[in-house]
Amino acid sequence: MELARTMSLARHNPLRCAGTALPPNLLLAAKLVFLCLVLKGYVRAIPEPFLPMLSLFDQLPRPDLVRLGLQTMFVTGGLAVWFNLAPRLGAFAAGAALLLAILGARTFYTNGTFFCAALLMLTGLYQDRRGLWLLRAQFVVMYFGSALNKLLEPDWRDGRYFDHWLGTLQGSVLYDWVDPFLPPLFLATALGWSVIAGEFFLVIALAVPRLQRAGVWTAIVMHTVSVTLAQQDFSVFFSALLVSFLVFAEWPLPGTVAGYVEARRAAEKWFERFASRLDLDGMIRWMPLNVNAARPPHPRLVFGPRGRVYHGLAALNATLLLLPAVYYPLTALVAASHVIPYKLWLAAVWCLVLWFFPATSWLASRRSPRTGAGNPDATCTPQA
Amino acid sequence: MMRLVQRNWRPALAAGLVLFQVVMIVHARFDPRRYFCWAPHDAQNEYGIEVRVGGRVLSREETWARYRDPLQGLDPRSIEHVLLMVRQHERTYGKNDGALVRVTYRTNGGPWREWNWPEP
Repeated sequence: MELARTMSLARHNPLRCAGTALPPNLLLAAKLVFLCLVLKGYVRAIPEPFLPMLSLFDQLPRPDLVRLGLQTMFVTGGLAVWFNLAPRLGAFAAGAALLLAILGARTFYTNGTFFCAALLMLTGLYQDRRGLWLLRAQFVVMYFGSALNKLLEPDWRDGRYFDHWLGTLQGSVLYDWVDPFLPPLFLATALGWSVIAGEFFLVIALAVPRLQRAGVWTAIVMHTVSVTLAQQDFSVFFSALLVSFLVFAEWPLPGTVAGYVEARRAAEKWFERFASRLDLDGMIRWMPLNVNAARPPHPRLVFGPRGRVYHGLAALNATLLLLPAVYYPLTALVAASHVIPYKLWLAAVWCLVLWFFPATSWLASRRSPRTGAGNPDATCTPQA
Repeated sequence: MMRLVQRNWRPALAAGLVLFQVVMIVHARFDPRRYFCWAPHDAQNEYGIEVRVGGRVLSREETWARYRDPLQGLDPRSIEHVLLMVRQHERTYGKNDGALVRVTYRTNGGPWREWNWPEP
């Protein structure tokens, strides 16, 4: 009886994402988007109806109660997502509350707020695989709209937009430093066209399954460059967008990923214990590694879904990225630009991006003297 | 039929939400307001609002209370967003105030322009 109650309570741990009506990656994305919104002060920011987009809101007698109702709907929905109570209904309610707040107050409209509303609502409407397809389509439509609108703006094409924004309004140190070495408006025009071309590339990359991984990393780097140049994180948009790329992740079923560590290495045993403790969904089965003494073993091997093998830094990252508990502090950091000095925050974000960037793992593997030039699978045999 | 609806209402509603944005992207070609069409930071608009009610110019705080928007600011959306707020307020909540409003603005460092309420 006690055990059943404990297990039932454990199902509602916010760090668990498996075993609900939503795929774990989608549920995790919704939880993290809600976290970003809370950290950015959206609970208090939800306004009462004022200059609404739909005049219906002006007919409601008590604007203060409408605001309270929307705040309650948003918070209740978000908590239902966090605690795995009714994640689909909760996500829809939280997203709908944001959308209603936008429709009720024109001043509340920002692209970031609408993005979070749409993502949460689409999460709430998830059904089978079609739901995930539609969530991915949301990104394709967003980048298509963004690229097309910019392409049709003359100031974006001839560089006047970037020159005025970065050169005059932002006083971007980086822009002001590079621009004098180049012909007039060259840098601004190049930046404008590279953003337009980059966004059109994302439309294609995020729509084609084979290119989605490249698309996601291109988007992450593009947006990080953009917050570097702009010296602002566009309120909730940057952090919510980054975590919502989880909808493109291939999330394995619990217990289908095997992790191999060499028992003699204290650091690897420690990492196994650390990861096991955080792995509330039971994603990874840890096993000892058979070491071929003739050649040095490769540290930390993780056998992912579809037979993928990760080793070295890639294995470390692959393990960390399967643990929802890891995402919470990282998301809090990315959403905390308003409480940390901006340059420090930016440095931390760049460190995170570069740490998890696939090329970093690849370079680390090539430079590591322990890896050798051969296939790491040949140096050690996983022992089931 | 009922079973079909029961099985597909979620994807249908989700597809409707995505399609709505596609429609708004097309609509944005004919409407300068540009809501729900993914036009963030398409323009940088510097603007200032001057409001006269009963011959007196409203202060910064009074202007904020009137439009919930600053007296002077920078808006990365279409300037129509600012003009629409003023227009909508003066047509509804403030229609009996007889306010005279002047919005001066420039887009992407271009020439300064002026917009007045009541509109000519």
